[in-house]
Amino acid sequence: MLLDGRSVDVGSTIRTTLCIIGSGAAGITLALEFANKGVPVVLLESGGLEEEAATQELKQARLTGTIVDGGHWPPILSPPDEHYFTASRDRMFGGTTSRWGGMCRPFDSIDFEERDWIPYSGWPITKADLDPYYRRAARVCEVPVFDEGPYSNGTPTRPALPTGDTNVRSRMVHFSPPTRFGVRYRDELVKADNVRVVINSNLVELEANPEASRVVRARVACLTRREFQIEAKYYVLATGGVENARLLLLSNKAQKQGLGNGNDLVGRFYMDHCYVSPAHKVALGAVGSHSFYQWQIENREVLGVLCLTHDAQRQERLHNDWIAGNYHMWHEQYLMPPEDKEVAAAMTAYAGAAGAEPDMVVVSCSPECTPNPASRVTLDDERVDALGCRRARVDWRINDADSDSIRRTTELIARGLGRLGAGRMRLIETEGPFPRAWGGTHHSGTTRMSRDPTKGVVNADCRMHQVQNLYMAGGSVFATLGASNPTFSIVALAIRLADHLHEVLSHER
Amino acid sequence: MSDKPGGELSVNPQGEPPAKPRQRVFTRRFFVLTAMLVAFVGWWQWPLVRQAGQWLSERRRRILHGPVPPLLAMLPQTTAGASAGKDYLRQFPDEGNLATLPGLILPEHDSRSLSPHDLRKAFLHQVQRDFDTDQVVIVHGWVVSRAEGRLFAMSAMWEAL
Repeated sequence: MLLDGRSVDVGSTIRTTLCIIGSGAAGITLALEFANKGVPVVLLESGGLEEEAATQELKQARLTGTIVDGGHWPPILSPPDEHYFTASRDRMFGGTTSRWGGMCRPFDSIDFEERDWIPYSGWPITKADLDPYYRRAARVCEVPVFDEGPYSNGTPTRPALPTGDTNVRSRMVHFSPPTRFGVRYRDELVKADNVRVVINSNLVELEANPEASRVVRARVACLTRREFQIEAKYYVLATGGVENARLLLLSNKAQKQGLGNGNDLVGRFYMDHCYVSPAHKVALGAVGSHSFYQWQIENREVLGVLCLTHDAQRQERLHNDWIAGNYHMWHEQYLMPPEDKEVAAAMTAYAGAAGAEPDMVVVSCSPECTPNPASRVTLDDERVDALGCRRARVDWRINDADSDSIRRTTELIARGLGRLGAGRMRLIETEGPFPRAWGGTHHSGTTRMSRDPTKGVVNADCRMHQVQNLYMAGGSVFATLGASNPTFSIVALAIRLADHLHEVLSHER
Repeated sequence: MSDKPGGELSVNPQGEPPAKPRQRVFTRRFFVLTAMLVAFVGWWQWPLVRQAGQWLSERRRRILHGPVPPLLAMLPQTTAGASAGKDYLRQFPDEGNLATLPGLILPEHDSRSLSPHDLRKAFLHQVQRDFDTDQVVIVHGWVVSRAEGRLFAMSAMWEAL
């Protein structure tokens, strides 16, 4: 059933078993897992079925911090303002999948490990725990099941870079069509007999009991000022890495510092991918072009990236960064200076392609960032949205160790490519800031997962440590972000959460 | 204002004495005396001057007909790697010698005795060996084998000839 919140009776209460707030990749996946399975579900969405300016305006937030103040990292935006958030999120049915690029890759096993050289690293679950859900996520995202074996080896005519005994590894990224969740799964959810999709309805507060240990109702408002409420047994907040934290901080009647924020952790550890261009690469030899590939395999586009082996990362105490060829970067800041083009031409000549133009590409790096408690989402003291709720303020801080890791990783990969006879790389700047950086808009980490309530907001089941019937879904639960794009992991975690909730509900019956 | 009657300044406003007019060094007399001195030394030490001239021309001949040109012929232009080569020479100034660089690049071969094809093969073999044994340098940002760095250094020195 599809309901428009603007037609719900003022002051009325919708009662359900499970209330999912947010209909992006996480929320829709979760609802799909409950569709036609008997449990009453309400899926609440701030926007409508199409994008509307007034609703989009609600997502504005102020961006501050190292990422815009300079320091070791260059300014990421000019001017550094709320457009980073307005341009990167959609408040409508389907959420940000409506503008998703479709890159899918699971996190690597090392992403889940506690690494003593990366503060606050380590998840309470392992890659093996998530693997079955990644297989199911592949169906939802419409990509082939990830099997490193056949795909990373490619087909006989399109082999991946044979990395031999070097510490370089080739990794494959799949592309979803991309699946627009709001379009692809709308009918399935609207037709499900147990799911009510309520659009144009904004959560403004989660009201808790006096002990702040349970949510008793969700207060909902429309832009028309119409208000109603939802009472559920369980609530799942799936509104994105910034909004999940903001809504908890706004829900501060029972707990002054914000719901579930007894340890002052909600909103902290904000993470995002800060992409940089650390090098240029010249492909050499027969396999040179196979290091960064963009191929069609079985009518699907795939992308090849390079990273270091986990052993090399441990030995060198590096992050799980990867690098890829970026064939779309023609901005003059990225181009190779003429004297270096001559060097590239020289290499191409003695490597056996005399007279040929050097096969050059700008390398971009997807870095794993260090979780940083000072990098955080708070409530803006000065700005409120159209519903009278304080906006988010995001203080995004990046650790200089991250850029050191990028440089060293790139250098080691360059050495590996040299050994493989596949190419040479020219590192851009050996010290100081990278010439330019850009954000991945992968907002995450603000309600991070941890076994220890003093170190994280949710437990391994994505349930709030301090609120018994409130769960988090989406990138906000990530303990570390890895280098992979997050949507595929968000979907896998949402399926895992659905299984958990099914189990919890089955015990109650 | 002046501190003397009559108003003449004994020092300039910055408190410095007035500058004396500079004497010219390169006068006509200087050039004439220098030319006479060179002519006298040349006449007096003629065998030595001739020997030095011969040494220079022999060195040039040796370079031009030695192992350097075949190696540089692997590049599209002889100066193609100069920017990286200058950085290599900054890092390894002891290797800045065109007479010894070819032997460092290909310790087991004389580039003159190899065909261009075999020379390139031998060079790439050395490059591979360098990467395998971690003989890698970063020159002007490029991560290259030591042999490549030396080839670029040779290119930079050739440009300076």
